[in-house]
Amino acid sequence: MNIDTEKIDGVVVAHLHGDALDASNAKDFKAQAAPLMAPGAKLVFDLSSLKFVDSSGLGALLSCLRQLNASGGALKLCSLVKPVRALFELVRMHRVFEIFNTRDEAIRSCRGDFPDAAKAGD
Amino acid sequence: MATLSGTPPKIFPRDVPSDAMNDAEQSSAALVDRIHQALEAAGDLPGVSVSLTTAVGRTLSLVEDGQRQIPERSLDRAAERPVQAEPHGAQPGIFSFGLDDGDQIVVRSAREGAATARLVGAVLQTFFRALAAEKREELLLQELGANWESMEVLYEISTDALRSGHIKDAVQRLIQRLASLKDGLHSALFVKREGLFVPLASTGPELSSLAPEQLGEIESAMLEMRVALANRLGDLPQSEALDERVSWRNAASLAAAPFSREGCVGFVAVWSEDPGCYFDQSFARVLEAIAYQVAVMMASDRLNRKVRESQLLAQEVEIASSIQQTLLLANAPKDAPRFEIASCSLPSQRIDGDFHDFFQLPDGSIDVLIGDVMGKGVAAALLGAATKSQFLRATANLALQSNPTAPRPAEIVARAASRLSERLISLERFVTLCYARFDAVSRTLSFVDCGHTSMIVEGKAQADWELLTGGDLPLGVVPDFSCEERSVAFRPGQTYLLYSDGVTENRAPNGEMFGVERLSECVRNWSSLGPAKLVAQIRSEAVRFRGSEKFADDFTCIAVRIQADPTPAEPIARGSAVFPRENEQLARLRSWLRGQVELGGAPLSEDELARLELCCTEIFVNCVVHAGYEQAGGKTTECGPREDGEESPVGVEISIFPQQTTVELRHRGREFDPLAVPPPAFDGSRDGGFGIYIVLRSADQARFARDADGTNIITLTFLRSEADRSL
Repeated sequence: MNIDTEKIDGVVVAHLHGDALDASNAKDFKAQAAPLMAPGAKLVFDLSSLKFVDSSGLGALLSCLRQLNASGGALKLCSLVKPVRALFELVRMHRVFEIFNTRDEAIRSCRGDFPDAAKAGD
Repeated sequence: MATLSGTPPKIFPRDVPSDAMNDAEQSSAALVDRIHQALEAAGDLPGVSVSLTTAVGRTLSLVEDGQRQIPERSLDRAAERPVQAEPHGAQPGIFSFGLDDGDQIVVRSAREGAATARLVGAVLQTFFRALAAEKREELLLQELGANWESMEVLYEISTDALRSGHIKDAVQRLIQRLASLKDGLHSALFVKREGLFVPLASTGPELSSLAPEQLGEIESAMLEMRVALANRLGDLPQSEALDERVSWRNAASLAAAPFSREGCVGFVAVWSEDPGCYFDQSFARVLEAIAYQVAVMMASDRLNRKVRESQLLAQEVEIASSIQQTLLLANAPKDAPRFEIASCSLPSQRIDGDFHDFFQLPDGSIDVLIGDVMGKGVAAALLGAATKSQFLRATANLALQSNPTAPRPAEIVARAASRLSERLISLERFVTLCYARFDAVSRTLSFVDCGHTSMIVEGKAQADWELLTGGDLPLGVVPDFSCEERSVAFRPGQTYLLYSDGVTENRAPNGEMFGVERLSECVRNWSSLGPAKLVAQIRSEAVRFRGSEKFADDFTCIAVRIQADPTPAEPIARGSAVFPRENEQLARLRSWLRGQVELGGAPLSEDELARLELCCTEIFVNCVVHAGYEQAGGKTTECGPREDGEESPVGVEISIFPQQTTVELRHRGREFDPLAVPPPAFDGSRDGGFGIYIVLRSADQARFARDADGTNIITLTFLRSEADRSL
């Protein structure tokens, strides 16, 4: 798992490179993501590369979400492939995470352009 | 149930009493007429004679040289079943066969050879066989019909008797009501006190106490706790032999039912001096139920007055739950080839007449009847039983109409309703029910829903669930009942849940209702474990929700799972592999699974394959977590590598069939119970705890087993969805 980051208009967009986020690399992912969890940070995870996420991967993402929420920051997800989106819906995490179809929508939401923007797919 | 006479009920009453003689004469004349008609079908029969020889040697001529004869006396004895025919080989031109009462039909032909006589004999044999079948059907219908009358009487008695404060009044009323079932009946209740049977209630004048030896056949019936039935003079003790104080010494027929309960021993007797009176098995059942009722009433009377109110209630609950166990509920059939069925019923503190039944059809289809009577207690339980018996009767009636196909659910419901509606209205009760047929041939569910709870249907393919409802009124609301049948196609892997409102209206201590949403969640969570585990889990969920094992309403759940199409013995492809138990294997595991499915011709859709990968990943991770533990003496301890040095790898086997794919994962480790896992936190407050939930909600079927040497075997099945079938 590699994480590419770029900063767009004050929002950090992290692209998660890798086929899968599962029990085999969830710990590794958390370690790599730790530096991004600055208090109050506004972060977008681009999941477009991930073909597979399991419950451990989901747990790692939840851990990031809780850290950022606690420090007044925000975490948004974008570009989930169909089976990954299906997993989020199966365990109702699409109601916990803010999920966007595209990276731009996620960024705009972070910048507060559309504070009331409807979440994608809901 | 044993009878004194030991003979089965007759097709025709044998000893027709004098006042019923006219009827018998008429039916005999009609019978002779029908014999003549049957013979007419054989054409002109010059030279042929037919006669009937009775067991006592009297001969009656029916046909003389081809001409009809009207016999002088009644022929009621001729209407018995024929026994095996014995061709009269010794004399050519004669053919005879016996009827089972000893009467014999003899056919003589003036012509050479036995052919004509044999032909006419065969025509008559066929006729007598058809006649016997007709009588059996008639008897069956009478039997079924009598059920209703019995139920109604029991219903009235139970509501009435339990209201009364004085035991003597209550049993007197009960005995009188029993005697009013037929004209000319006498009835009495005897209770054993200090070695004598003392009359406690009777319809006639003052009766004497009786010693056991004065009871005749009733004494032995009491010893064997069976109902005594005596209908023929020969079965009754001779009048001379009976003490003149015995009130039924002049009876023509007698029935008696003993009871024994908490030290209270006695019997209820009913007799008639009218030779036309006949006690049959239906009557015996009514009598038995009344004797039981008396016993319960007598026993409650013995209770301390202070606790009487509550004890009476307990007694009522006991009666009602015994009715419920015997009459209202049924076991789910285990041998239905295309369906897996399980049911779970819990009677409430106050029985409220939930009932259900299953009927298996010859073509493998299954009918499920589920219903609920408005109201509680014995009365509701009995009405439930009466309703169920009307459905049995309707089914039997419709089936007797020699229809080659099974009667439709709507026909059955309409038939039963036509007999029930008016009575229910007059009793100010109503019954909600659903009659559902799972048709194995057309793969459709056809149902009539009369105001019952909506059926839940669930399947993993589209992660779907919905409620099925019909729009018909409960029985007992309008006199002119009509109903419509709804049909939907079903798919393998789907689970249908039928239930009583006691399930959804179950309340938590804070007043919150369980509700259909929560129930459907249960179905989605556990349907993959199969109907038996599903209904058991719904039950424990309901207990947990209520905080008690005692429900306010009856609780009934029936789950029907549609099985996959029969799988061929050999899969299209089978593969197995062993993976070291470490999470680093996950990517390899998934690509191996995907490769195997592709090798097998990829019978799963992309969605189905994704579910398979996800479930196998979750189970594998579980194996990794649990394999590091061994269980000893109920304590789970972490342990190092096993003594034999094995690292306990995970064995995976995949079998690909045209309609389903099965993956079996084996590993040694801690015993694992998927039902013991708490539900996940859906608010995102916990990172873990989703794994088993994901598996149970995604796999079409999941089985968790453990073999003797501590290997956990997890079997996951994924069905090919119907949508892909045509491809």
